[in-house]
Parts: sequence; structure tokens; C-alpha cells
Amino acid sequence: MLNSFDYLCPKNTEEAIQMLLDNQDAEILAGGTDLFPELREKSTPDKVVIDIKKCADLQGIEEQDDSLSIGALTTIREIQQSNIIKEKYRALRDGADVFGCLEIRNRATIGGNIVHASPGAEYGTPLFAFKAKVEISGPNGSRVIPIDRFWYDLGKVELKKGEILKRILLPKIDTQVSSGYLRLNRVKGMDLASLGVSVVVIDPGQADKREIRVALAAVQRTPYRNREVEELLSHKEIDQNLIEQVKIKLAASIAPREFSLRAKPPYKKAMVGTLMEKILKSLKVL
Amino acid sequence: MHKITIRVNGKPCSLSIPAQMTLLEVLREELNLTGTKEGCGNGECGACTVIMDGQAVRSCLILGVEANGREITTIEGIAEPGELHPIQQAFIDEDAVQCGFCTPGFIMAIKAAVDNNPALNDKQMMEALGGHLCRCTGYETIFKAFRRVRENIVKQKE
Repeated sequence: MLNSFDYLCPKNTEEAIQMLLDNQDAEILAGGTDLFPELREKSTPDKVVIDIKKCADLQGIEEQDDSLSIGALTTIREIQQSNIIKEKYRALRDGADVFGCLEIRNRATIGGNIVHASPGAEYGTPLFAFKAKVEISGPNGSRVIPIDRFWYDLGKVELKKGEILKRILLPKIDTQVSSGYLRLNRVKGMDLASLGVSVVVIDPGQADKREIRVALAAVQRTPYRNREVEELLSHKEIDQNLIEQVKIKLAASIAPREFSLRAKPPYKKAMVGTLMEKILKSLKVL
Repeated sequence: MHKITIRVNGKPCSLSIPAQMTLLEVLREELNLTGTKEGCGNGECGACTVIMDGQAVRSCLILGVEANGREITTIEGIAEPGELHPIQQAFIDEDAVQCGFCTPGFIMAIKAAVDNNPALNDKQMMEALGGHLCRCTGYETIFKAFRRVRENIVKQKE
């Protein structure tokens, strides 16, 4: 049995916010796939677990005028099965395809994946590369901030007392766009990423116009974009010479933690450019 | 204590349970349905897989209270007592069971997969079992059993 705690199940987000304000030691429960191991190891009788799955406004994928809204409670399986994500935000689909295993994808949520701000999390880099924003609901209404301000340090996100991640907003892209996500893992099956790379290419068909963004996971304390490298790759034909240059720059710019759990820094430095190159090739811009 | 009502293998069950009791513990300790196994207890091995509202889930990663109002199917509920479900028969026919500890989890995952999509391709079969560990069989006989189930579904349709 898990260590003891109390369980609350609010009917809506307003109630959930009030419960967060009323309880000192409160944890939010969504899919539970990250929370359970935590509860097993360190829980106290004073802890209150607030199950937000009945909060309707945190659910679902919805196309809006200027963005695609993904509710925090959207499961990885729902992302995997979404046509709009497959067509326009492919890197998110790629992340879902390798995420945990089927049973985990049926429960785990995109909100849960990012609020833990774990370096190898599948959704840090694709959301960063798509310039996603997040909407946070709290006692004083809601606010919208960019993903890189939300996820500001290792294990830390910008959520104040009483606040809940409501949804993720991906900017609507009217032009052609292609994207991809690749990761390294130790075993072929169910594993966490040792290293993750997302590439987004806006206007892939037109070399002079296209914009390339590259985001990296598990190389710094937070998901990382190197703007210099993106500049080098954007608005031109890319040849192998340029790629080799970019790979060296990219490797030099990262400082993976010495005690990373799943891969040593030299291995990460060697592989980060290789994964980027593979994605660029698969997207046919190289 | 929290009051919950769940339907398990078609039967409604009303229980009073502590918040920290997992669905796996509810099934095994409260309802004596010990066919569902606890392996790692952390969602990594697949031994505790059951079907909740048509989806394969890890019962060790779900609270009993979260399951309130849901429909659960365990290995005990897939065939009448004394009879075998075609997936169980396929496991016997293909020698896909050795120690048997992982078997209920595999069978429930396969059941959810074919219930949701009877025309699975090989990749989808791999996906359905990607999170299940078996330390005895080497998996090949399990996949043979899975393929046999798939073939039987096709034959039934003809």
C-alpha cells in the first residue's frame, strides 16, 4: 500500500484551486504515472491528493482562431490519435509514439509530463520548438506565459500557491510546417529519454524562407534552444559541410550534468548533432 | 475511508476503502481476485494490467477511489468459470506460459488490443505488448499466441 494521504476530488477547477489554497501539503493527481512512485516513497498522513480529472475545462484538444489548445488533462494516447497533431505538430506525435508504453499512454497526461520539469520529459522540446504557451488558472483568474518561462529550472515550474496548469496553446501555423522528435534510450522498449531532440521547420519547401528551430532535452537544466545554430540552419540550402559545423557548435554549447542518470556527457555531446541531422534528413531539408 | 462503487467483471461492488489503496489492492485484497499480479508495483512490468472502461491500464498506478464508477475487467472475468477465453486457449496451444506470473497481464493487454481493433498489424501488436515483461518465455511464443488469436478472428469473420 502507498503511504497514507487524504483524497479529494473537486468537481471543477474553481473547487480545485480552493482546495489547493486550503491545504498546506497538496499534490495534484492527473494520470498518476509520475505521482505514484513519489507517493510510494515520500508521503505523509498530512498530504492531500487532489484528483483533478473531473475538471472539464482542463480536457480535450480544440482548434481555435489563433492556436491549438491542448487541455492539461489530455492523455498521451489522445495526442497519439489526434489528426491535427499528426498533420501540423508531428513532433508531438513522435513523442507520444515512444512515450512509456500503451497502458501508460492511456493514463499519462501532457500536463503531468511538463509540470514535473524532468530533464528528459518527452514534451519539453517539441513544445519549446513550436513556441507553445501555457495558460495557468489560479485564485486571481488566468494568465498565459511562454513554455520556457513556465519551465524555468530543473524540476521547477512557475506555479504559485493555488495555481493549476490549465492548457497548452500551440500557435496556429498557416504555412507549411514539418517537424520531428527523436530520442536516445538505453533499451528499445519502455524507457525514459537519455537525450531528446525536436526540430521544427516552418516553410520546409522554400530554402530561402524557411525557419528551422532545434530544441534539446536532457542536456541542460531545462529544455534548450541554441539560437545561433538555428540562425545558421535557417533561410538557406543546407549541405553536409554546414551540418558538420553546426554539430560541433551544438556539442560545444551544451553542458550535460556529470551525474546524468542515463548517459554520460561525452556521449550526449556526440549524439545530439547526430539526432538533429537524422531528423533534418527525415524531413527532407538535408 | 471512502465509499466507492465499481463494476468488476460485470458485478457491481460497493466498498469502503482508504485513499491510499490502489486498484490492484482493491482487486486482490478486498475482492479476492488474485489473478491480477503485482510485479514491480511501479507501472513498469505490466503484470497488474486490467481493462478499465475498455482500455488496458496498470492497476498499480490507479487508486481504488479513482476507479469509482468505472467498469473493470480482470483475468477472472474474460470467460465463464471452468471455461477458457480464446486468448487463454491460444496461450496453451502455443506454450506461451512458463512460470505464469506475467500471463494475466499479457492476456488482458491482448484482449484490450483486439477488442479495440480486431485487425491489428504486427506493429500494433508490438505496441500493445511493449510495456510487458516476461522473464521466462523470450516472448516468441507469446507473439505466436497473439498471432493465433488474430488469425482466429479473421477465420471467424469468413
